[in-house]
Amino acid sequence: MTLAFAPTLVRRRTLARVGASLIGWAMTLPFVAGMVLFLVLPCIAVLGMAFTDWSLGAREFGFVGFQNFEVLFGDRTFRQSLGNTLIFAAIVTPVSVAIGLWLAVLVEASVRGRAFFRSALFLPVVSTTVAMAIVWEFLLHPTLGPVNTLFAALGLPRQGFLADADTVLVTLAMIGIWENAGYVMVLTLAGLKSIPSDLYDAGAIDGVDEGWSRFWAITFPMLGPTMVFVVIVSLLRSLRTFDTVAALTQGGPRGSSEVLLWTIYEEGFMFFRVGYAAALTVVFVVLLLVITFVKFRVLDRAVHYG
Amino acid sequence: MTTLTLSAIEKSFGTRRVLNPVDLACADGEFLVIVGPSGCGKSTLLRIIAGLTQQDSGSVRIDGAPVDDLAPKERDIAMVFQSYALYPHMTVSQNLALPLVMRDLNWVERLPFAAKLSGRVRAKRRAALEVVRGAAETVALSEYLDAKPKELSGGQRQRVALARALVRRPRLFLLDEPLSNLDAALRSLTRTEIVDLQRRLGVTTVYVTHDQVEAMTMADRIAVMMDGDIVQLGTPRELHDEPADRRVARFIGTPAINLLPATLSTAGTVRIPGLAAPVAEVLPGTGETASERTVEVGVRAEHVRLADPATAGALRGKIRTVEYLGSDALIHLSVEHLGAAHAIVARVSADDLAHRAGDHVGFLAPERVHVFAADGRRLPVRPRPAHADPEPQAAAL
Ligand SMILES: Nc1ncnc2c1ncn2[C@@H]1O[C@H](COP(=O)(O)OP(=O)(O)OP(=O)(O)O)[C@@H](O)[C@H]1O
Ligand SMILES: [Mg+2]
Repeated sequence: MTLAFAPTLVRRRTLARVGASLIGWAMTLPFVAGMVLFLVLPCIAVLGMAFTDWSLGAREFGFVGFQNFEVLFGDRTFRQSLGNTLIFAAIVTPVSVAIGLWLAVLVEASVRGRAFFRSALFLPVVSTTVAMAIVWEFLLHPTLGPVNTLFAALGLPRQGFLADADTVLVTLAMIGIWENAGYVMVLTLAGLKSIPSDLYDAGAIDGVDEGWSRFWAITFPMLGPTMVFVVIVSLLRSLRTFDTVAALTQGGPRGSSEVLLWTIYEEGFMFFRVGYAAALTVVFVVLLLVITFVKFRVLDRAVHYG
Repeated sequence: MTTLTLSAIEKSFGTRRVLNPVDLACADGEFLVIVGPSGCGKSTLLRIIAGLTQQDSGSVRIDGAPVDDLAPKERDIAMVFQSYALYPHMTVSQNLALPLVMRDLNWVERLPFAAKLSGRVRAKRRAALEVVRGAAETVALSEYLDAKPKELSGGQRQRVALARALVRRPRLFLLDEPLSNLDAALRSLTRTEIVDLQRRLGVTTVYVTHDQVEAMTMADRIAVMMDGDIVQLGTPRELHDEPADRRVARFIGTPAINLLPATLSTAGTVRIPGLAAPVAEVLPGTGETASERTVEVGVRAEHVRLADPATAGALRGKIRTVEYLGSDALIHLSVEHLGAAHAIVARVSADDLAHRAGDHVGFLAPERVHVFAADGRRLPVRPRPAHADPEPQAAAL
């Protein structure tokens, strides 16, 4: 009896299980489909295009193997672009993180005006960069800009800022710092809030009670996980910088503010060399992946996670 | 030799008054427990002693010298927090060493490479490590010196917090509900451990808790705090036997003291309605006997005697539940003529437990009753005259 029943029973159970998992799939389908359609497929497409010589609008294209990459690494514009991007990130990330951290500690400690400072300093993050860019353009104008007027009043030499190949990258980095520091501050403020006040009380009794010793013994280590996150996000944001360049300098003067994303945009949408732009994109994504990998392997080990 | 004296400490947070003027003195080597319901201001008082919170007025003196203007670290005290407040990013050893390092090394000597450069710094670090090892041994944590707090159990963390408080040999030891995050078994074990440790070190200790059992079992003296006032200060025994008022009587002792409505005659006789014989005589001169008044009679569960329902002079009740506790049992009765809502609890030895829920019994409170005036004050009662005692009942169980 039991034996005779067993197979149908098993089959019925299997069917039930399959049914359940079908329902599961059906319910996640819209999301999975969206992901495949808008994320996975484009990625594969980009990877594929990187090995072609397709130009936008062209009827046909051929596979060219690694030729795009060979051209790329030999290209002066690309090397300048990569260099500029790295320099930009190397300035913006540490400086904006340091300033944002400092602002956060300051704002947290201030008794009055906390809400005001928080919103004022977060402004760059929520405001439209392109709109702000117009303000920057005016402020930093070589002849009419108030900053140069101020410089002149102080007896300092006038600066070309965005118009000068020597200063354009540093000027953009300053704007990048201004944009990112508020973001860092807000993230850090959240991290500061989560440090139990008991620790500071225990510290006060143990003798860790003023500024620096308190910061190094308690605040900074307790902010560890927040700082890792903040550094990585800042790094990725600064490597991805595009809109200030597009709005203010368009890579100029003479390619001295060329950054990777701008170069990709130029190649793909102004010169229509889609295959080449795809190859650039692949290099860019690999760079981001390396950074993420470093985060997981190196930084996460050095940090205390409560 | 360390004494602690608080005089007229007041504190408000905004418009909310948390401490009415509080006066308190703690003798050298004493284990003083401040106990009171949640929110009565115990932690605030302790933080004022530590210097973590500034009082609005009044003075804290340690060994007779005011410390009001001293920072917490200069008061030479140690504190154990309810959350333990261990530094999560430091090992046990680093946690314990921090107070020593901060006290004995200046900021140059604390730099990470200073120990490599200077023999003096090395010697200081080594001395600190010796003390740390000693403290870890005292609390049986020697094997865990290199562990981070999150790798330890609750009880172990609690001992690290204790050890961190010990390393500096402070004049004063402050503990704020250090046991409330432990489970029941560990709590009673740690209770005795802390008392042992305190006795051994002889360090003056102020211990804050909302658990009256902790207070009763650990304290030399207990300060009962309610709504920002210290309502009574005394030994556990005094608090139990001579509570200052109804609130203290209700708060101290498990189960809570039974309260029965009663009347106080102009002659000072206290009667429970429905009971012919008076239950107590209030001493004259308390100002409460000028006219007939309602009062409350308090009887502790262990003083309630169960008897046959027919016993003369006994109140009658119906047993609701019997709570068996092993060596004894708690019997919850509803008092018949006071309405079912009025319950009292009797503690009987488990040996002569012959009752079940639903039984009707009589009960007596022949001795040791407290009388509380309408405002809650305890009125002193005369020892009961012998002739008024009901006959010892053969039927009493
Ligand atoms: N920093 C503060 N700001 C405002 N109110 C506070 C502050 N600290 C404490 N209070 C208030 O003071 C009152 C007493 O607090 P306290 O922490 O001293 O109580 P407690 O007796 O320790 O209670 P518990 O047993 O729950 O720890 C509470 O009502 C609390 O809300
Ligand atoms: Mg408290």
